[in-house]
Amino acid sequence: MSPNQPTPNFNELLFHVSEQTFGELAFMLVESDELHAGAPSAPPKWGYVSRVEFSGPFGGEMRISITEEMLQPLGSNMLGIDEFEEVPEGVRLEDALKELINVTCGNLLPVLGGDQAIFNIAAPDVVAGSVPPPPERYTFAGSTLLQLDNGTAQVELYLSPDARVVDTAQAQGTANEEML
Amino acid sequence: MSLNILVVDDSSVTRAMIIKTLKMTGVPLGDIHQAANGWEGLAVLKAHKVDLALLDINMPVMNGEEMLETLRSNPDWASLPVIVVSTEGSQTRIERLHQLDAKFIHKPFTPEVVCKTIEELTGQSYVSQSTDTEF
Repeated sequence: MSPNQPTPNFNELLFHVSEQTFGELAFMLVESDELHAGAPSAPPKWGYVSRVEFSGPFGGEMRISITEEMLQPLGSNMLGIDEFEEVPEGVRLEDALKELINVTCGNLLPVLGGDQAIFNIAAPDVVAGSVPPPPERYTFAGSTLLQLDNGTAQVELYLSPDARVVDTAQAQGTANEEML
Repeated sequence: MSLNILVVDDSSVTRAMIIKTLKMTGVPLGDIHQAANGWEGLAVLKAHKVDLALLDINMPVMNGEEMLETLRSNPDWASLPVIVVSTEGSQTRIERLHQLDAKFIHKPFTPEVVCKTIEELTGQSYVSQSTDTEF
């Protein structure tokens, strides 16, 4: 992996894994795939940024940023309640975003590292109202932008510089097959 | 016979999703207890009678695998039916969980899968009230 050089295959892979997870877990469907190839020239204002770090054969960090209006429908969809219905007592809406990144990351790692590799996923966190700087110890690997029916989301992947992932073209095929 | 169930996950949303799913399975439910990590889960087990535990893997303080190992080394809980509900994709780790006599459900999950897995553990048959909703 070349530092600071986005790999198109990572972008594609992130798009397919994210599209599937957003759809299956939160019933949020991608409206258009035209934007998935990279960062837009004028990115939207992110309301929440979730981050999760992982370790194992190689380390890294995933980030999912969402626009502010997405959090409520995200939580409601995942809980199976009406958007304006009160969330159950003790449930925090930001936990929906944490769970979304947890599942997205969990679905991506076997594709990157193979199904025998053991990764440990740390507890995700959520930053509201500001965008934290990129992680210092990992290298940007790729990103995808999802235009969803409830807002916009961006998924970014950072990997340790020595990361040796399985062939991403082959992984891309695997991810696509799993979707069929 | 209704089942007293313990749900261990650090995400309040996931616990709510699992409990909602359980209610859709048709499984007769008794008390449903919640815990945010393995350590809290063990405290619940000490205080209450639990028939089935559903555990996440990645949790702070004590993760699900550590909790499962603790359960299996304690005569009181060695045979407690356990389902691990996780995003885990490593076949190596999933095999390790099976060796600890736990069932595994991959997230996202459906009420049908949860119902079928509980049926396998209990030997009972339940009628799922669900459609094909996925959580």
